[in-house]
Amino acid sequence: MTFSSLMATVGRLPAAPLWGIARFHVDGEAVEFDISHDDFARDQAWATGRLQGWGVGRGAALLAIGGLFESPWIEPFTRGANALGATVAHADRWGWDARRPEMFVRRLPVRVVLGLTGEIAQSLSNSDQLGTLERVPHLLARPDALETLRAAGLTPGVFARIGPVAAVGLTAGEPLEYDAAEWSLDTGADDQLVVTTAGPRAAKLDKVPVGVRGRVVAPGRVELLD
Amino acid sequence: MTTVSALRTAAGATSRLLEPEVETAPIGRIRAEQQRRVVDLARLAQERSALHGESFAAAGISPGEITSLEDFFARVPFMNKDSIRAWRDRTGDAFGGLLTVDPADVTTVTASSGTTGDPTFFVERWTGQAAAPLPTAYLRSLWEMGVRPGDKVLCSAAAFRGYIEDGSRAMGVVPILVDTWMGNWVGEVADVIRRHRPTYCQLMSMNLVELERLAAQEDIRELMSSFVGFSFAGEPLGARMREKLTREWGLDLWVYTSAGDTGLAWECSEHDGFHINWDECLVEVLDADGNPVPDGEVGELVVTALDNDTYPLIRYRTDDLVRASTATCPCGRTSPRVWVLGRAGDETVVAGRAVLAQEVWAVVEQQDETATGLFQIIRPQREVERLRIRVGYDGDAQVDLSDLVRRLTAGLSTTLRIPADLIDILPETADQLLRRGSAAKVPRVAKS
Repeated sequence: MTFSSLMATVGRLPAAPLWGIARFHVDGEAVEFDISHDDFARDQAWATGRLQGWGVGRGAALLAIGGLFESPWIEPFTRGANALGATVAHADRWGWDARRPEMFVRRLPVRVVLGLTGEIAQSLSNSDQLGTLERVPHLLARPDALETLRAAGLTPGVFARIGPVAAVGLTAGEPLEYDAAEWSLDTGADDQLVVTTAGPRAAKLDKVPVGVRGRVVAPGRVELLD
Repeated sequence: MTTVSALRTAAGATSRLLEPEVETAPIGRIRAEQQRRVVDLARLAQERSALHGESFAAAGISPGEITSLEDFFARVPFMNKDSIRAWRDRTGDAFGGLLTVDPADVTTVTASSGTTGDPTFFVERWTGQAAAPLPTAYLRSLWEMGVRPGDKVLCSAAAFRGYIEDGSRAMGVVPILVDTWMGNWVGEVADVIRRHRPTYCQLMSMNLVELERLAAQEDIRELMSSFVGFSFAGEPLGARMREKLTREWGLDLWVYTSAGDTGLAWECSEHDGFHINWDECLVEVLDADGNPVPDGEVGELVVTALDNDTYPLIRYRTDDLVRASTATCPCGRTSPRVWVLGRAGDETVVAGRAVLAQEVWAVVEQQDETATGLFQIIRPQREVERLRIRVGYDGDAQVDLSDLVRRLTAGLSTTLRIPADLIDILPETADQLLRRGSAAKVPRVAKS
């Protein structure tokens, strides 16, 4: 019917020349970067490796929280989760949407929450519903959500966008992992991180500041300082 | 190799529709395929879905007994959102008793905003495909709009229904992943439009406020000249705002709405009613007793999802009041069209006078300060003695609130034939009012 018919029809059209054009911001200025289909495939492979380590697979669910413009950082995980046989649920990043992620965590076997924002953490705190998140084995929150979550007795991990790089860690305070085969992070002046393309990516960045302070403890391992 | 420009030219000349053989299928083929689908679906649902199994049995239907559309319409029981919630609350089954597969086989779950109660699920199974069914359902309309492989499009603001851009990407289009939410159009989004000259963007209510701000600062007609079209969704669009978007700003606006949670219903190039894909959804328009109303008469939209065997909504009462037509549209499509009049559940009775949200809308959008049509009827219950309305005004403008309240009260009193002393207007800025809703809409009726 509609879906199978349309998939077959668009499958005969020329492929998109890029997976997407994304942006990150440094001091209010946008840095644009292209993402090829191959770039995305490698990002998904890396994310899938992390998800396997977190026990994501058939019978588990991943709840992704974020805007569509953040899909270069988040969608490798959602596609990876689906490829591992898991179910994916979606919610937006705003505080007024907090009912949705709270409901998903209550109703689905959510093993990973990826990208919980400060706004949602605060909204759930205001409605005294943060306790729902206790049942999630791996709660990967944005840096701006950590304080609220910890104040409620939760022990979140971290999901961070560092320029074009996605970085994750299960335990806040410990170095985050990123894909060193694709990106090289270095510490510049005043502990400001800079990014350089390491893999065969469409975007060629060379020591571009990312607007985040941190310390690279080893290739693929970075500590955030803010 | 086919170049993008050659493809656009060829498609423009010979293939205005993406799937003309489906979209203009003759009625005989439509009825035959729909009959085949409902026969299979009825059996599947009865055998695999707990909720349908119980309701079919209660209706005296045995598996395999539904063998025609006539059987289907005559015997299959109705359901609605409350049926799903009741099953869920009674059994603890998060999927409301509807699933026909193991929950572990579900690919994605998204949810309603919960404006009419606890959010309910939208469930899809599409592992291994380039995009989910929902974003794929945009593509026939995007193609007719003129979007073609190689184009760039702005990404949508909200992700609550999943990664919509997967659909346009599957059609060969490059999404520009920029934050199109409130506060970002004057500046970054405008810069992106100048730099990349995108051809399509989805708009929602909150974008209208952003476009007003943009129009106050630059020539919006020139800025938007690269777009072949914009979609608008989430809630109906007022006549005055539509006029501004299309005539004043020159935007080709394609409004779409939900086909009762079974898919999408899009305007076409004629901009006269919403098409519901005949191969995605079986449409009925029924009176209060469940009998079909003639073409053009008002009734409740009742839908059956023909393309989601995983989570089958069957004879699903939507609470949407519509008129419908099965006549072939001048665009060439043979799928049914509906004109949405409002939600039956949103009707409010004020001092004995029935008030529909659309009636209030028409008055609110006539005032310059409230031209975006943002309002909310406050009612603890359906029948009230006073009409209380929260109205969102342009927070960037100098507004004489007492005069605005006086004008709105007078307009509502005249239009609704309700004494002015029974009308309370509660003004707040548009931004404040938008934050009471979700990404897609502000609930037109609120309990408090």
